[in-house]
Amino acid sequence: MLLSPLNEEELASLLQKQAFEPEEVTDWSRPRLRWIVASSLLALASLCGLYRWYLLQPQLPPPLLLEWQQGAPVAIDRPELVTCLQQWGNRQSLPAAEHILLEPSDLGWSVVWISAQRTYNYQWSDAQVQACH
Amino acid sequence: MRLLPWILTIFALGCALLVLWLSSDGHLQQQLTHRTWAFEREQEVAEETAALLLDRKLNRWQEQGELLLLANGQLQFESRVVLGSLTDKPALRLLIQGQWLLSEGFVSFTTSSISFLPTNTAGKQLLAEHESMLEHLVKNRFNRIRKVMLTNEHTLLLSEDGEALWGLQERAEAQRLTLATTLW
Repeated sequence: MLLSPLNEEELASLLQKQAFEPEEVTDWSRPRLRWIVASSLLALASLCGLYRWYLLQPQLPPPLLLEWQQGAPVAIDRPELVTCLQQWGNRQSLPAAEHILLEPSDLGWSVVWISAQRTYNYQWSDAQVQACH
Repeated sequence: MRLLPWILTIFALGCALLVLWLSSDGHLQQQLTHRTWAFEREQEVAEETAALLLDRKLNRWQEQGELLLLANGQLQFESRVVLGSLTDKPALRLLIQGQWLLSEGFVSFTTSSISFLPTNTAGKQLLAEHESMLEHLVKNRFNRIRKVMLTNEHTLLLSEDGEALWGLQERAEAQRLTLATTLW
């Protein structure tokens, strides 16, 4: 049998006191922990915002030939068109292109020839583009 | 451990402010200003418009120019233009001063003064006969609201629906002779 230093009356009083005492404050309701959780969430949201900003940057993808569609570059896999454009660029004595952008416009096709030093803007008729295919 | 909430809060606020700044027009404006944007372009001109305004059949517009945007909203645009027609090739120097405004990724250009200088006889004749109409043609091409895109640090693309994409590139500054470089 377990021997207790308290007598029965003291033990009963202690149990009663414990039974009616308000519950202990949990860890989640501590102000410091709430602060840490809130600032961690804010930091996470900000990092997501930074990543989203980075993704939205209109960087030109690696392919040489791109079509500008609704404000964004889209890669075109047309090797014969690239060759034709490059031959045309050589005839015009243009420097080597880093990117060639095509965009349909009211007067045909805009051709933006981006080289390391300078950018050239041309306009091609539909017939010129078709002739390259 | 006691400093952790403070460190996290400062980091989070810093990140939030950085996101706001990077996404703002202020950041884009800072990237565009005090740099000279150069371009070359060769475009078709709507023959009917040119015929109506200038009484001649112009079909091409060749231009080589530079655009300078200042932080106070002023702009300067300078170019050499050669107009292609069936009979002659008038050549002009064009200088535009005006204002620019950036808002939500779009830039608007407004001219306050336009001046032409002829660089050949055909240009001189064209100016003598149609300077005012030529001004209308230039304003119509220049005073637009265009979407701005910086595709990398040095290439700027301006676009508007139905109109030609306009690519410009930051002009590489030629190294100027200074006393120090001369002495070295």
